[in-house]
Amino acid sequence: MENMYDLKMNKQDLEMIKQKYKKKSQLHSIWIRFKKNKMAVCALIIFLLMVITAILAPLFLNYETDIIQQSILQRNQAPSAEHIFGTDLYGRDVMKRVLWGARISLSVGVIVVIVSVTIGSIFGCVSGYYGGVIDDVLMRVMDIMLNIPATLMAIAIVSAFGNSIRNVVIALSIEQIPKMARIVRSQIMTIKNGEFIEATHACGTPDSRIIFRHILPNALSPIIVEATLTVARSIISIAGLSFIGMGIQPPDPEWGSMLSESKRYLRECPYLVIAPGLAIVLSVMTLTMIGDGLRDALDPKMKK
Amino acid sequence: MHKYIIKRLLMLIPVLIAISFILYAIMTLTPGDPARMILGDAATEEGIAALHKELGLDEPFLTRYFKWLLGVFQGDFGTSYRTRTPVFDEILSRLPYTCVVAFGAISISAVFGIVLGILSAVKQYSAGDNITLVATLLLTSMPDFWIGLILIIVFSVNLGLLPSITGDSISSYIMPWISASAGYLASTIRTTRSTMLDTIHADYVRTAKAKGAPPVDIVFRQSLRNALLPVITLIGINMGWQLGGTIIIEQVFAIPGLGSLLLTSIRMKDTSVVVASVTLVCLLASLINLLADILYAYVDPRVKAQYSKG
Amino acid sequence: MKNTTVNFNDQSEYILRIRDLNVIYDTDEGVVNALNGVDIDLKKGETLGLVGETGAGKTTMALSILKLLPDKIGIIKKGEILLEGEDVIGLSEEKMRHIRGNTVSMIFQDPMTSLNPVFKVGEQVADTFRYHDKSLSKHEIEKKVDEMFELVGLPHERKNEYPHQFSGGMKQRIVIAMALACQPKLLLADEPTTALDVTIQAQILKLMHRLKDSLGTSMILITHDLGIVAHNCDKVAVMYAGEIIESGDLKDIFKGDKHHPYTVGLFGSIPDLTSKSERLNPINGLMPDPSDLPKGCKFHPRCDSCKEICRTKVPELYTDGTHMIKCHKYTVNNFDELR
Repeated sequence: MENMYDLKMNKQDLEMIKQKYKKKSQLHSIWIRFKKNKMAVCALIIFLLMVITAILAPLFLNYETDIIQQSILQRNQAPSAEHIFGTDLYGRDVMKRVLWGARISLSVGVIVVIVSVTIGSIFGCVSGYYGGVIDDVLMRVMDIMLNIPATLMAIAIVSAFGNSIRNVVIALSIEQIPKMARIVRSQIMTIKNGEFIEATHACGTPDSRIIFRHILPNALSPIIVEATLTVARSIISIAGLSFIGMGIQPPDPEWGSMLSESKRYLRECPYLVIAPGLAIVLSVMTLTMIGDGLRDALDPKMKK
Repeated sequence: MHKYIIKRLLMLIPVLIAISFILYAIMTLTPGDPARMILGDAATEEGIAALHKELGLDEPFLTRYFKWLLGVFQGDFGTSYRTRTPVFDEILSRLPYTCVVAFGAISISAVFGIVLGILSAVKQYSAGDNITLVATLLLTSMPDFWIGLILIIVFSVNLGLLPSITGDSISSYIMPWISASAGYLASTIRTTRSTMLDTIHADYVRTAKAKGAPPVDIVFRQSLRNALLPVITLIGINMGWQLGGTIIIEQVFAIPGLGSLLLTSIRMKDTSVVVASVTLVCLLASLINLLADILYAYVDPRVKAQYSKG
Repeated sequence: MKNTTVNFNDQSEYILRIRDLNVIYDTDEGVVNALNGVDIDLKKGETLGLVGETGAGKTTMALSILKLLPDKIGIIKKGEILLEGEDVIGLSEEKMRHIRGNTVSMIFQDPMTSLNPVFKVGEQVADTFRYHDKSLSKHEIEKKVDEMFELVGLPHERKNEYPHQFSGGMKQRIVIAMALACQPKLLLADEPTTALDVTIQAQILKLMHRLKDSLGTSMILITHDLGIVAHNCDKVAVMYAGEIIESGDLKDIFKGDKHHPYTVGLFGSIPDLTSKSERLNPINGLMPDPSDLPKGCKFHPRCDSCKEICRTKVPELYTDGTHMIKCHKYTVNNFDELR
């Protein structure tokens, strides 16, 4: 009689099952889980469209003529068929400037993420792995950095060292590094002490395999989620800095500085406020939704 | 517990000194001459040199810093290069405006945030809950200054309801409060909702139900006290952010607060004003976070025990 | 669900009668059949030991009696739960609240998380009084709390401390104090000692036994430990895949010679320190997936005595006095000769 609940399987069957599940790699199952979240997928599509538009912008827009060139005759025109979002005080088409602005905001965001993830990870790894005095000192430093209100720190750095994209990136990165470091550190510490690491040691798995196959995949999830949210936060931060004149300078069409310019004409041309604001809201919202979706997809153990 | 508080307060001092030192260094050692900026077009080489001597700008950086620091311990925060008035007075005249905006905004976000968060959690999956979640997503995506601009357009320009420049009337603070509180309202709602959901499903709530506790007791007594703990911490953090972020709101609504003073002083390289203001803001933020931690310990006896051990 | 009253003789003798209880969990991943026709009789003052592996449905049964199943997910599909003759299933939530902690109390498995960390323990015990007797004054409640503390063997001076200041065993005593405060007629104890040290286990069980006797409380003691059953219970019911597959007096189960094959397996898998045995004899296989239960007898895939009929037909009940076994072995003639 066949006992279908009999667990005594032979070695061949075991191998076959292992192979079947290896092909469906982790990435695949993450993607499947992500797809289930319709809102997140929607957000991803919209965001990708924005990114593509930003990258391809130079193909259909000319920096000199469309973005910078002033035309007194055309100034402050209300939205029309020709200028969907109107023209600004210098006669420039708002829509085109907003599209070009995406290049600035997104690229700064990405650079900030790269810098903060890299440096933050180094701090976090060192802190988490070595522990002890090194950990204490580094965490104190991170705490001090977290204690200073971010906006103030950014303003201080930018105003002291000059209004350039590089300094804006530095300022925003300094804000993000402690957060990233903390995440990496807690991941390293959890994993270092995790029971399944003991299990791998007990199995005799070589160290490199432990690090790459077991530690990294688990540590990556919160880092990736945090990275997405960092880009979102950076976009708002840059906009804020540029709004008060401390970030990207005109005539570059950064969304925040566009809003700053429109402040003067609130009464006469209220429509100038719409396009740059919507751009910020759209990009941040989609990024946040993607981040949330990733968080749910990467760690299915977490319930809503 | 008292020992813990004193320890925290004492630890603040080196941190604040470090911050002030870094800031003083940044302001002094980077390009830009306040004397030149003050004299403007009328600047001559002799005039600048004379002004340097008068303001003490000719002394080396470390001397200037320690003179300033010494003065601080005696209650003298230096003099503004720009206005020649004591920094203390300058800050004092501006601080109330910033505080009204900041505290008002955080209070709004705390009260409404907690209430809406509880409602959302208790009525999970309902239409109201879903709307709230989408709304919080929107609010966190909108920069506060944009909300401010839109509010001005709608309520000031078109409807003439509220003054757009902030002064002495309460109504002039309404729009700044709404703009400043929006983002924090969203994060408070989200956090409260999530902690409430966690506690409502906790084992000890199940015990209470098994004892026959009525629903009001379950939500407002058994769950809420536990759920509010992380929210208290969040509000403390938000307050710190808010104090730092008022700069932008003050620009939108032309509020004569600490933020705009800071902005002007940075541009004019008015070192003492900048260092004193920023250090003051950091001090306030730290004190508020300490207060939040104490409140947390007051509510959660496990933390209180931890703190009492020192 | 209609409000059934059984005839008078039964009403005075039985504290709890459950008939054909069917409970499902309607989850996102599908419907889980937690209880599939459970019958239980409990007389006043009796202790019933409810045994089974994890996932058999023991906790679900206890939660159903108090109607504490997860909101919208746990659904009582059919059956009757007669508490002192009244069907609980049809009662309103408000009426249930009068019953919980008052007529019927429940103790849960993990004492570490059963107490609210931000309230004093004395207050948590006082709550039970407050919920059910509004006429008591503050002073009276305090006195009663002190009495309960003494009863469970804790110094009443400690009532102003917080849960984290107590050990696991002491926490469980507090839980017991909360449960017995209003002198309930029925106590549901869901693995009350599983999370505790073996040495503390004995203490707690002794305490529960003593209190139960002095208060005249009936008890359903849920456990997976046959040793605990042997020392504390009058009757036993063995649960498998949401059904009672064997029940009877202590004598029937421990001394009887006829048993359900599953019960035999359970006994066989108890490590016996007194006899020399080479290895444990775990029962082959796993508990069936409650969302995809086997046809016929639910135990048949793991049963050594499985015949063709077991695969297709649900077994009837074999009764011998107080002993009940749900197995074809005893209800079908010439079972051993079948295919």
